[in-house]
Amino acid sequence: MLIQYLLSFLILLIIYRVVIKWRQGILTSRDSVFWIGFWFVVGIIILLPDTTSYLAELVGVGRGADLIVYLSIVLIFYIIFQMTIKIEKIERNITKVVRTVAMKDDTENNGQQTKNEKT
Amino acid sequence: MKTIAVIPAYNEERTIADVVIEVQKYVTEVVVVDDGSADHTMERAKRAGAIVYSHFLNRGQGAALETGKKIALLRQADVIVTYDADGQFVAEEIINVVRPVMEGRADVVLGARFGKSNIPPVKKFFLKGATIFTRLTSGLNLSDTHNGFRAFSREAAEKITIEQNRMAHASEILEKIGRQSLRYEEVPVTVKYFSPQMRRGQRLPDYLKILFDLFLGKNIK
Repeated sequence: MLIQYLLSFLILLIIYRVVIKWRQGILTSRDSVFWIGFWFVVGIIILLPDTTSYLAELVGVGRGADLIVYLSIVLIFYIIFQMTIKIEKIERNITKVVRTVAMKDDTENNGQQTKNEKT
Repeated sequence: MKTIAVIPAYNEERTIADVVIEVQKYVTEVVVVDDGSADHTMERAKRAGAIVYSHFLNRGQGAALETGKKIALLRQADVIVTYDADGQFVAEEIINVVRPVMEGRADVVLGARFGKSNIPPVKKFFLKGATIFTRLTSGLNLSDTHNGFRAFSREAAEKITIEQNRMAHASEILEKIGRQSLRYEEVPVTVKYFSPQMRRGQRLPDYLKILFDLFLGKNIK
């Protein structure tokens, strides 16, 4: 089917981009292996959709497509969770920066009543 | 003994000057942490005689408290009092709040609004819920949990680091009191509630947000 060729081509492109980013040092080896593996599996599913039906039957879900949807939702939730934690971590680091700046601005309290122009 | 009051303030230009002037009567120094206010909070606090430090970005009450606590420790405070900038507390009661720490009976004193204040019923319900939650998570048996009126001994302040930027810091403090097995005491304080149009404090979504923040905090190393 045409869609299979289109999607496979897209996946090859994504894997190619991952390899380039790996080479450039933007992605760590661990992340690269994960993403290449991930897209490789997606590629297999696209080219041989029956494999998912086999797996679905194995775990007791009706259709292969359903299994993919379930797994995707779990994965997406997991990624969102990780991102939320990461954002909170960044927030806390921002606070540390702001606090350090605030505490370095000690001079204004020792004497003259100057309004500090930081913004 | 050197007592320093720490007052986090975010857009409180209407009340901050009066609060600083009142509080000054009962402590050695007043430290106001201006949490990135867009109004004249900083100038008003300074003119009223407070030592003012300023976050150039708004980071939340927990973050401002931690900054103030650090500054108070640097300024050699023996006792640190945390106080709200919105004028809901009665400054005179600082004497009562500080006393157990001064006398060495407690490491931390927590203000409790029940008994002394006229609290709206819905508010009361959520505050009660929070006390049950606190009992389960920190083991502290309190009548009020999210009250900004507190006193810390120097040693207690050194042990408690506030990491929650926003409102969840109140629960965080209690949890850390429990974990460090600090001696705590509750002292009744007055909390003035203004007309219902003037909304103060937390609402249901805020409480959910606090729970979520606490949960997140558990997952950050």
